[in-house]
Amino acid sequence: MKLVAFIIFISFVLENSLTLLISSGTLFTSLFVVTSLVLIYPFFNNKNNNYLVISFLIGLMYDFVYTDTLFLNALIFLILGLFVEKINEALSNNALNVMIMTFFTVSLYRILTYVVLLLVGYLHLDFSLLLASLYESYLANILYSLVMYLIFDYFSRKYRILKIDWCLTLGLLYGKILYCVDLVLQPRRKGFKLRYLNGESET
Amino acid sequence: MYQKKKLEARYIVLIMLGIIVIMLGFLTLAVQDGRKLNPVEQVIKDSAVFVNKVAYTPIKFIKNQVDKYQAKEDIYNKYNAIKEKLDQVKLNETRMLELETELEDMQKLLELNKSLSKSSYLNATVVGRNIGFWYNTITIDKGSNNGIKVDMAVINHKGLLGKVIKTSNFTATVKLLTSSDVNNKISVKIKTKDKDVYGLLSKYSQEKHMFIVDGIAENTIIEEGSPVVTSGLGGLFPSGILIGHVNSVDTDNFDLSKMVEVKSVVNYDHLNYVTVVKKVNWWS
Repeated sequence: MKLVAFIIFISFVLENSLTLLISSGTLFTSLFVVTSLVLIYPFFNNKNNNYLVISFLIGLMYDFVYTDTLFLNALIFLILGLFVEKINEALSNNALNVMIMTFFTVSLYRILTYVVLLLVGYLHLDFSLLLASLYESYLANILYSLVMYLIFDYFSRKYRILKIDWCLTLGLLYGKILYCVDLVLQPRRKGFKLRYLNGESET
Repeated sequence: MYQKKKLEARYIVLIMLGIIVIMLGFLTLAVQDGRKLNPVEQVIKDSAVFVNKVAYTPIKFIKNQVDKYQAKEDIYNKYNAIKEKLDQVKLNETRMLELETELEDMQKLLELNKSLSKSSYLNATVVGRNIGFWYNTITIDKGSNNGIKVDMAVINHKGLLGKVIKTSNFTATVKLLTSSDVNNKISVKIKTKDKDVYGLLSKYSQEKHMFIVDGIAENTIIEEGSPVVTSGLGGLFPSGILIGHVNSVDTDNFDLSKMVEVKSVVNYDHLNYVTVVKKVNWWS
């Protein structure tokens, strides 16, 4: 959980710093906090309720710190959390899939925010505005997700912090160990005796 | 049994629709600019801004060093350009002092205590920028403790940036003129040779990076390059703050009025330091 908190904190800080550093209207619009939802999911090890609660709280913080819109981003982040859960059932946790998940999560965030703001009358109907927001949001966030995944994957392996893909691997390994133990024990259970006859073995 | 299940599904759909309608109603209130921040929001925002400010300090230091290095390379050309403008500035300064004296005399004569352009100023630093794309707001490090109130105009050394929409104790949120908000309209005047033409700055075109001013009569003659300033008539912004210059003039889709494209004097991509204008309202 410390690693999760660290990822979220770094995402908040870097998002603000990059926005101040790089001019708006370029291909480097940062949504690192949204990307962090994809990065932190593997560390929850199927404790999905905690993940959804954390997603909601991250969205609430995002509302307080960046947008001043009470509960708008909290609800949207909750929906994104559900989406990340579902997409993780279809895709395993590796670098390429993290980039794909980031792509879809950022797209969903932009579309949901646009639709909600359109419905409440804050924005007018302008499809080009939505398209521009989409294509300007991909590059920085996909690169960020890749870099952060590689860094924290290294640390999680070094310090043996369990992730979802580790659980799967351990599960498979455990299955294989059980199978080998069963093979070894099987002849003893059925009472077979091994006899050596002239150097040859016979069961 | 089947009918019972069907009824339950119907109720669930109705309940879900009801929840969505209530949430949309709540969100309509939540996204309004005039919403006052509650104490919890203020404390969290002030703390988060402080942490972001501390975290950005080393990056800002490196950025300043890089900017200084780049500026040094071009310093000779800039020196010559500034030297040429210095004489013009001195001339304008003299003329401005003369006009201020005339204005004071007229105010005394007409017993006017306030005017559309009377203001005081407070400098602030940009410590955060909203990246939600739709809101286009910045956060500055001055708040209600420094005398900042909602609806105060914010400018920089070049021109108008936007207005204050929310304040906390130590920070304030400024909505920029480039925001996509449909309610973001400002009363402006275009200074032509003969007279001032009044219009409404209605939106910002993201594709062309230009403001659009409409509500101008079709038979009005406007030249390209004419300055566009705030009129002060909307009650929010003091008059005379430069917004940009006319880039092109066109008619609207129905040929009933003119639409003017205005190129902004402010570079909205690099905003580091701003000034909040504490306007004295002429009707108060």
